[in-house]
Amino acid sequence: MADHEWKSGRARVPLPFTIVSYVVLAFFTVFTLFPLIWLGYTSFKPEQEIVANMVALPVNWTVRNYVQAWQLGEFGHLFVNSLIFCVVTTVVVVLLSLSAAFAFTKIPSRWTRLWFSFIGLGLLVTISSSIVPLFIAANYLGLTNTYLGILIPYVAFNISFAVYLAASFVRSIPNEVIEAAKIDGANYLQVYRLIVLPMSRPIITTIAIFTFHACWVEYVLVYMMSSDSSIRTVQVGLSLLKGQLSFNFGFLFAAVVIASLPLLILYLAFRKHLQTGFSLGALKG
Amino acid sequence: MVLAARSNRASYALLAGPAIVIYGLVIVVPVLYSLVLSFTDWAGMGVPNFVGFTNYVVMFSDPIFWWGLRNNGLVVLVSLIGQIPLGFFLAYVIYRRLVRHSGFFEAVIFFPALMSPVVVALLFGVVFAPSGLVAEMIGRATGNPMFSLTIFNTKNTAIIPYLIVLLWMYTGIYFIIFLANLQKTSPEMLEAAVLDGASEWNILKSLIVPQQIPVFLTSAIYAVAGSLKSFEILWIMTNGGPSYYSNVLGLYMIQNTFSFYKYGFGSAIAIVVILLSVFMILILSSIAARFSRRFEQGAT
Amino acid sequence: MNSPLGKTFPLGRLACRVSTMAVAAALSFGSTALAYADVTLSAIVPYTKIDPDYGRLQETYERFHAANPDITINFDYLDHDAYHNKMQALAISGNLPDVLTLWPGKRTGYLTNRGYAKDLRPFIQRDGVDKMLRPVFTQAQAPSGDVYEIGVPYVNFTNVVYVNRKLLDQLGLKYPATLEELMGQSKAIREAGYRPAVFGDQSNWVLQSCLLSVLVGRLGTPEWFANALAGKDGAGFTDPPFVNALQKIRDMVDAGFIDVSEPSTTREQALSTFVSGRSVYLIGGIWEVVNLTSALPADMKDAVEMHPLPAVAGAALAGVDSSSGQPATGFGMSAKLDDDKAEAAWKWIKFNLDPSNKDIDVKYGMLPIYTSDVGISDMLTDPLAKSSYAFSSSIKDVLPVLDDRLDAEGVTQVINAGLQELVLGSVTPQDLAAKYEAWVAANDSNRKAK
Repeated sequence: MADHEWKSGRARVPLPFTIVSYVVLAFFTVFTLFPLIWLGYTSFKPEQEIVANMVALPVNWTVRNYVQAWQLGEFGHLFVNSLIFCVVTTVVVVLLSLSAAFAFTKIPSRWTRLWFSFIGLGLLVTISSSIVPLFIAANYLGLTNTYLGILIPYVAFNISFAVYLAASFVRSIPNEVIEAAKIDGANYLQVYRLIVLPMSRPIITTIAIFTFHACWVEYVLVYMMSSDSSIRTVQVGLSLLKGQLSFNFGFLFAAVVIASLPLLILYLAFRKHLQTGFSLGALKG
Repeated sequence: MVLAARSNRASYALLAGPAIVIYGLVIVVPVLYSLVLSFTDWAGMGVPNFVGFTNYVVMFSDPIFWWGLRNNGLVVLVSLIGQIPLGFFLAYVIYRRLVRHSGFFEAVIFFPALMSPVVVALLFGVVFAPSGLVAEMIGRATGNPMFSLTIFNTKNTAIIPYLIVLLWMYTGIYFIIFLANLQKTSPEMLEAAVLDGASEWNILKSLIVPQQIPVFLTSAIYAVAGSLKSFEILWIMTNGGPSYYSNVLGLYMIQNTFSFYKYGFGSAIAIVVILLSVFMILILSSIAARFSRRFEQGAT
Repeated sequence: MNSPLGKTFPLGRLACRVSTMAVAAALSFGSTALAYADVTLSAIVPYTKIDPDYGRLQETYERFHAANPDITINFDYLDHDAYHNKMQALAISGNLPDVLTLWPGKRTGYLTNRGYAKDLRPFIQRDGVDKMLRPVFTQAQAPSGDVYEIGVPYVNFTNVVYVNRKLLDQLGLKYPATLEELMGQSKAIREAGYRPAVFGDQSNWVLQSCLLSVLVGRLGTPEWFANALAGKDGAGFTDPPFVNALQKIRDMVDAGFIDVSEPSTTREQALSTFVSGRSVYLIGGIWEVVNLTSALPADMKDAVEMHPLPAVAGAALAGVDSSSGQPATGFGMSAKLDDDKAEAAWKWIKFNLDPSNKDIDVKYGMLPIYTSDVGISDMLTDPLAKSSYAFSSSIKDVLPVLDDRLDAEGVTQVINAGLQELVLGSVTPQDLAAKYEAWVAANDSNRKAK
C-alpha cells in the first residue's frame, strides 16, 4: 500500500507531542480495559466476596452468577427477541434504503431534492428525542406490546442513515450500465433487482452491520413499548436486573458479560464495516 | 415518451415510496401530534383541554428545565472541545504511526463506541459511586476505608462523571471519522514535506489541519445533533440526581411524561428539544457553509 | 392441598364458557380448552424474577392451581417503575390485565381513582374475610369507602433501624433511647473508622419514605396530619411538625449521622456497606430483611438487630412503639371483569391471604399478622425472621408514609429532590417546607378534594 512508502521517511517528532500521545492513549487504555477486566473477574466472584471487597480477585471462583443470570434473567428468549428485531429491521432497511437510493440517484425526478432532504431530517431525530410522541401514537394505534410496534420505528429510525449510505454508493454505479440494461428492455424494478442489488454488496454489508448494531444496543423504545416480557430484548432485560427492592452485584455483572459478548464478536468479525459505517456518518453534512 | 415518463414515475414511487412513507409516518406524524398535545393538559386519558401556552410557560419558569439545558450545553461542549479534537489527535497519531501497537490502540479507542449504553451505564454507575470502585481504590491507597467519593455530589459537579463517560465512549466515533479522512491524504505530499525537513508539528499545523477543516465542521454538526438526543446512559447511571443536578432535557421529558402522567407537558418538552436541536444545527450549518466557502476561496 | 376457604364457583359458567374458550384458543391451547371450561386470567406484578417475591408468588400459585385446576393465571413481571408506566399505558389503551397489583394508598391512584379497579367489599363481606384481618387491611381506600385490593396481611414498615450489634458492642455503645443520643454516637463511630448509618438515597425516595415520614408522624398528631392534607383549620406543611422533621434530618447531617454521599449512594451500595461491616446502622424498610438474609455472612446473622427509631424530642408521640408503614401491596381486579372471571380472580385474592399458606409467606420472609395468633412465631428459625416478626408485632401506631398519602408528583419533585438538597446543604428546612406547601396548595388532589 502507498502509505507504507512515506512512513519510512519519518519527520522529527517533538518530545512533548510523543508524551501527550502516550498520556491520551493511556487514558483510553485504562478506561477501556480496566473496567472490562474488573467486570470479567468480578462476574466469577461469589456475592459475599464482592460485597466484602470490590477490587480483589475472586478467592473462590464460581460460575453460579452466570447460571443464575441466564435463568433468572431469561436471556435465552431475550436473545431470540433481540435477534428477531435486529434481523428483520436489517433486512427491511437494506431493501428499502437501496431501492430509495436507486430512485433518488438514477431516476431523474424534480422531487428528488425535496424527498432526499426530507429523509435527511431523520438524521437529526432519534428514538430518544421523540419517545414521547412515539409512545402516544403507538398507544393510540394499539401498537404497544407488539412486535410491529418495535419494528416499524426501528426501520424508520434507521432508514435515513441507510438511504444516505446507499445513495453515496449507488451514485457511483456507472449510468452506462443502467442505460444498457434499459435499452435491453429492462424496467427500473428489474434493473434494481438484477443490477443494483448485486453490485451493491459492499455497501449492503456496511448498512446491514451498522443497522444491526444500532438495533442491538437500542434500549429506550423497547423499554417503553413493552410491558410484556415476551417481547423484551437483551438490553431491557439487563436494565431490569437492577431490581428495585433487592440486589445482587454478582449476577448483574454476569448478565452484563453475557449481553456484551455478541457485540465483541460483532466487532471482531466486522470491524472494518463498522468503521466504514461510522466514518461515513459525519460526511452527511 | 409520455408512456416512458409515466412508467418512470411509477418506478420512482415504487422504489422510493416505502422508505418515504414509513419514515414520514413514524417520524413526522407523531411529532405533529405531539405539537398539538403540547397545547393541552392531557393526562393520558379522558379528553384533553386546550390550555394555550401554559405548558411552555411552566417549563420556562422551571429551574430544572434551565439546569437541564445547562447540562445539555456542557454535553455539547465536551463534544466540541473534547471528543472532536481528541478524536482528531488520536487519529493523527495512529495514522502517522507515531506510537507502536497502533492496532491495539485503535481497538481500545473505538470499541467503547460500540458498547451498549445500558452496559456502560451499569458499569460506570458502580465505578463512580460514592462507595464504588474509584472510591474503594482511593480508600485502599490512602488507608482510609471510609473514603467516599463525594466530589460529584455538588450541583456544579454532578454531571462530570457522565461527561467523562461520554468523552471516553464517543471519542472513538470521531477518531474513526478522522482516520478515514486522513487516509485519503496524498502520501506524496507528506513525503515531500518530510524530505523538505518539516517537523511533525509543521506537518500537522500547515498540511493536515487545514485539509481536515470541513471534517471538523461536519463533526461539530454531528456532535450537536447527538448531544440533545441521548440520555439513556444518564437515566440508568444517575437518573438525574443528586436532586436534579445531573438532569438533562431528554430525561426531564421522560420523567415528567411517564412518572407524573403529564402527556401534554411532556409533549411540550419534546417539541422544545426538537426545535432546539434543529435550530442549533441550522446555525452550525450556515457557519459551516460560510467557513468552507472561505476555505475554498482561500485555497484557490 | 385444598383451599380451606372453600371452593365456590357459582353463577353462569356456561355464559363464560364461550369467551374463555376463545381466549384459550387464541393462546393456542386449543384441544385442551375443549375438554375443560378453564378460566384464564392475566396478571402483572411489580417485581422481576430476581425478587424474592417472585419465588413466593410461584409457590403460592402452584398451590393455588393444584387446588383450582380450572383457573389458570398468566403472570407477567415488571420492575417497579416500569410497572407503573405500563399499567397507566394499558389503562389508556383498555388492555389492563384481569388481576391488578394495587397499592392501598395513592401509588396506583391512576387506576383506582379512575374506576379501573373493582370494589372488593361485596366479596369481603360475603366471605367474612374482614373478620380474620386487622382493620388496617380492610379500611377504605377511597373517599367512597371502596376497597380495591387486599394482599397478604402484612404491614410494609418503612422505618426500621437495623443494627450491627457486634460493631456496636465493639465500639462500647448501646442502642440509644433518643434520637439525639443516636446522633451523638456519630463522632465516636467515625473516629473508629466506620460509617454511622447508611440509607442509599440515590433513587431519592428512601429518605422521605424511611425517615421523614416517621419523623413527621411522630412530631405531629394524626389530627394535624389529616388537617394538613386537607388544608383545614389553617394547617399545612409549613407548620412546626413538618419543618421540625426536616430540621431533624438536617441536624442528623450536621452531626455526621447522615453522610453527604447519601444522595448518590444506591440502595445496593448501602446494603453492601452495612453487610460488609462498615456501617453500624442501616435505616430502611422492613423489606431489607429479605436482602439481608441473602447477603449477610452466616456469622453476622445473629448480630443484626431490628429496632424502631429512638424517641424524638418534642414529639407528639413520645414512645418508640411506632413506625411509618402501609399495608403491603395486594391484588385487585379489573373493573370490567365479568362474573366468572371476577369469581376466579377473587378466589386467587382470597387464597393469598389465607392463613393456611402462611408457610410460603414465612419462607420468603413475609410474616403476616392476623386478628388471632396463627402460630407464626413457632415456625421461625432464622434469627432475622424472628426479629422481623417481633418488630412487626411490637408496633402499635402505624404512621402514614408521605408518598402513600400525597400526590406522587409533589412528593417526588419537591420533597424527594428537596431532601437531597437538604442533605447537600443547598436548601433550608423552612424554604423546602414553604416550597412544598405552595405545591400542595396549588396542585395536590387532597386539597382539591376539599
